[in-house]
Amino acid sequence: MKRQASILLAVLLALPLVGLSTGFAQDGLTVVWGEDRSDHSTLDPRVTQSRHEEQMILQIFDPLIYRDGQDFYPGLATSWEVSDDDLSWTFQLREGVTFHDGTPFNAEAVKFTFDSIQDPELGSQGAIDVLGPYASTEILGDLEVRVNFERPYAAALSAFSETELSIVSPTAVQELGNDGFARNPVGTGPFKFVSWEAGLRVTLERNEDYNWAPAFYDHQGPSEVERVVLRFIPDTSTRVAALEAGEINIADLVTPLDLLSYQSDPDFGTMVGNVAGLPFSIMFNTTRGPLMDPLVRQAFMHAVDRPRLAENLFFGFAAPAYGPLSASTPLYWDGVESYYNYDPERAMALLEQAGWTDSDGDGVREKDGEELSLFFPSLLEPDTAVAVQAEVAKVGFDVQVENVLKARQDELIFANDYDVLVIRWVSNDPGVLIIPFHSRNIPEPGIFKFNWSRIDDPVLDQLLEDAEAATSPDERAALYQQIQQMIMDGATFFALHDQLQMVAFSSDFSGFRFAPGNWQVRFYDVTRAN
Amino acid sequence: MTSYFLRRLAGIVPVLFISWTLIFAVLQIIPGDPVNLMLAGRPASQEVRENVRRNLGLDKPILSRYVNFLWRVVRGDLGDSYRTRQPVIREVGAQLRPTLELAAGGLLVGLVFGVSLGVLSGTRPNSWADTGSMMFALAGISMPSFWTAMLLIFFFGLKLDLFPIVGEGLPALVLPSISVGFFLVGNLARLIRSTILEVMTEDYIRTGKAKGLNHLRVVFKHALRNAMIPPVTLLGVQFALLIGGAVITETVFARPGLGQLLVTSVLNKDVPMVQALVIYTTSAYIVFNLIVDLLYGVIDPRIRDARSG
Repeated sequence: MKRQASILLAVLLALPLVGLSTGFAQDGLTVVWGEDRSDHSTLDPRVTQSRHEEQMILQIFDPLIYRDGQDFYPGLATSWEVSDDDLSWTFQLREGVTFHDGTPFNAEAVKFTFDSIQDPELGSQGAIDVLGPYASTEILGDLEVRVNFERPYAAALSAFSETELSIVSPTAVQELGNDGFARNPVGTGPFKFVSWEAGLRVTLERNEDYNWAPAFYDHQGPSEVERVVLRFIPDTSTRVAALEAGEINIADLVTPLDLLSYQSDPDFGTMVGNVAGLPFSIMFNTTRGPLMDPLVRQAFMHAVDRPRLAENLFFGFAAPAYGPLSASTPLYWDGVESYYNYDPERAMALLEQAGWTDSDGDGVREKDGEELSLFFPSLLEPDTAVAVQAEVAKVGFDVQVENVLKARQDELIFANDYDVLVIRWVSNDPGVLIIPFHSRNIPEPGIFKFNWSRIDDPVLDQLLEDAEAATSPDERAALYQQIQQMIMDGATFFALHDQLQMVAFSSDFSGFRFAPGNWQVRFYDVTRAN
Repeated sequence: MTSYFLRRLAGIVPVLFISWTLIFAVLQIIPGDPVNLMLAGRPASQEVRENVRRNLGLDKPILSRYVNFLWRVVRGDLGDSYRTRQPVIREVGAQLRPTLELAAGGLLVGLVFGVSLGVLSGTRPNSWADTGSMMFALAGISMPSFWTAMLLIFFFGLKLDLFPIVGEGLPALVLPSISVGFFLVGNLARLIRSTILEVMTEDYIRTGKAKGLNHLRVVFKHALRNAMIPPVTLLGVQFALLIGGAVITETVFARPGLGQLLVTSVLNKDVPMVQALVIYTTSAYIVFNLIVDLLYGVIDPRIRDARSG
C-alpha cells in the first residue's frame, strides 16, 4: 500500500516535467505582446479611453483616414473634401471592403458608427470628445457620406484618423448589443477578434480578406502574422523574464535599465516614443493657499532642475518638458523652453518678494504665521513626486506628498482639497488644451473634469474656443501659440517630462511600427527577421 | 454521523447571515457617492444621476435596502460590475477555475513536501535530516512569496529553462504552485514534526514496535494519523485562504484569478464586484471550517463519538 502510494506520488510530481506542450501548436507566425495592464474592460473603439485597450483595438479596426507620422493616408475613405464653410466633410468610401462578419462596409456603417457614439446609452468615454461638435452624417450614395459639424472643427482631419473613430460593423452591434460588442468586436482591420480570456489574454487571427492596407505599410494584402496574442503580464520583471525566455515576443513598458541593456544586446530590439499631448506635469491649484500668488508658483518652477530630473529618473530616455504640449505634438511652440528654467537663486528671491521668509530657521519659509506648506496627492510616478519635493525643499517649500489611489484623488478634487496634482494626456492634437484650461472644465463635486488649476480666465476661454473653430492653418497656429504663451505667463502649469512608451522585442521579428502620438504598436507589417 | 452533519450544517446559517450583515454595514460607511462610482467619470446631468440612484435602489430606506440585499445574496444575484457592466457572478465564475487550480497546486506541494519533511524530521530528531528539513521549513515560512516567485522565475524559468514562466497548462502551474505552497510546506513540516515527536512517545506506539511492526507502518498508520489533527486544521484555513485568490503569486506569474480581480475591483471602486468577492471568501472560510470539523471525526473517531454521544 505504502509503495503504491509513493509510486503514485512520484508520477504526480513528474507529470509536469513531461513537458506537455505549451503555447500554440500551429506553424504560422504568432506574435505575443506582453501587456502591463490587466484591467481591460472594452474592445469597442467607440467606448474606450485607454491606450492599453486601443493596442488591440487598432489591429481589429480601420479608421476612415490613416495617419503615419504627420502624414495622412486613405483608410476606409479613398478621398475626402471639406466644404467651403468648413462645416461638412464629404468622404468617398473604399469599394469591396467587408467586415469580419461578412457585412459589407458602406455609407450606412459610417453613419451608424458616428451616430451611435452620440447615444448616451453607449457610454462613450473617448470617441465622444474626438468627434467634437458632430451634428449628423448624411448618406449620399452607397459609398459616399457627408459628415456635418455644428461649427467649424479644425481638428476633424486628425480626429477621423484616431482609433476611437474606427468604423464598427452595424450588424454585429445590433446582434450583440453594445455590451456584447465590447467583448466581441467586429471591424474591417487586418486581424479578426477570436477570444478574450479575462486577465489572461486576447487572441486575434489574420483577416485573410484584408486587401485595403494604407499606403505607408511595406506590403499589401493579408498580414504575414497569422495570430496576435495579447498576454496580460502586470509585473514588469516577469514581463522582461518572459521576453528573455522567448515566451512573449514584444513587451511594453520595459524599465529604462532593461532598455539600456537591450540596446547593446543583438537578441533584442527597442523602440522608444516620446508621447504627444500633455507631458507629465504638475498643475497648481490657483484658488487656495500660497499658490494663489503667481510669484510663489514661479518660484516653485525655478527651484526644479528638469533636465537633471528627467535624466535621473529615466536615464535620458524621457525628454524634459517645458510647456503644456510635449514637443512631438503638432503646433508645439518652442518659446516655452525659455520659461522658468532652473535658478534656485531666483526662486528664493521671488519668495522673498512675495513675503515668504524663514524667520525661525527651520528651513521652511513662513508668512503671517503660516508655513509655506503644500499638499501633493500623488497618483502617478511616486519617484517623481519625491524628487520634486526634495528640489523645492531646498528653497524653503514644505511639500506633503501622499500617495493616493484614483478614488481618493477624485474625492480630493471634488472637495478642492489639494495644492498640487499631476496630470498627463495622450493626444495628437493641440485641441487637448481645452480639457485642462477652459473654465467650463473646472471640477464640480461628482463630475470628473480636468481644469485642476481652476483657471477661470474669459480671455483664455475665448482663445481656446476660437482655436478649436479656426480652420485656416495659419490662424490656428497663431492662436495655439498665443494660448501656450498665455498659459506660460500665467504660471499655472509646470511640465516635467514627456510621457514615454518603451518597448523591447525579440530580434527574431521585424516590422513593428509605432502608431503616431500614442505609440501603440501596429503588428500588420511584422515578419520573421532573417 | 448524519445527524451530526446536519446539526453542523444548520449551525453555519446564522454565521453566514451575520457575515453578510457585516458586509452590508461596511459598504454603507465607505466614503464616496455610489452614483459617482457607477458613472465612473462620465459627465451626467442631474436627471441621469437621479435615474442611476433609483436604479441602484438608493432612494429607499436603509432597512428595505438591507432586506433586498440579503434576498439578492441568497438568490446569487449580486448585480452588474460598474466597470465591465457584466453580471458579477459571471466575472467571478470565470476566475474560479484558475484560482482553484492554483489553490490545489499549492495544497499538493504543501502536503507532499510538508508531510515528508515533517515525518522525516519528527522520526529522526536532531539528525542532519532534521536540521536540514527545519532550515528549509524556516525559509518557507520567512520568505515573502513575491521573492520566492522571482527566484523561481529566475532559476527554473530563465536559467534552467525547465518550466514556462507565463505559459499554459500543467507545466505553467508548477512554479506558481511552489510559490504559494512553500509557506505551507514550512508551516506543515514544523507542525507535523512536533506532533509526531509527541505521538511517538505514546504507549500504543511502543506496543506496536514491541509487537514487531514494520517501522514505516508504525509511523504512517499509527503515528501520522494521530498526529494529523492540528495539520488538518492548518490545511483547512490555508486552503480557504488560497481559494480566495493569491494576489501576489497571481500578479508575478501573470495568472488570472480572484486575487487579481479583487485588487482591480478595489482600485476601481467596483463595489458590486468587491461585495461579491467578500461574500464568496467569507462563505468559503465558513464552509472549509465545517469540512475540517467533519474531517476530525473521520481522522479520529473518538472525536465524533464524543460529540454525537
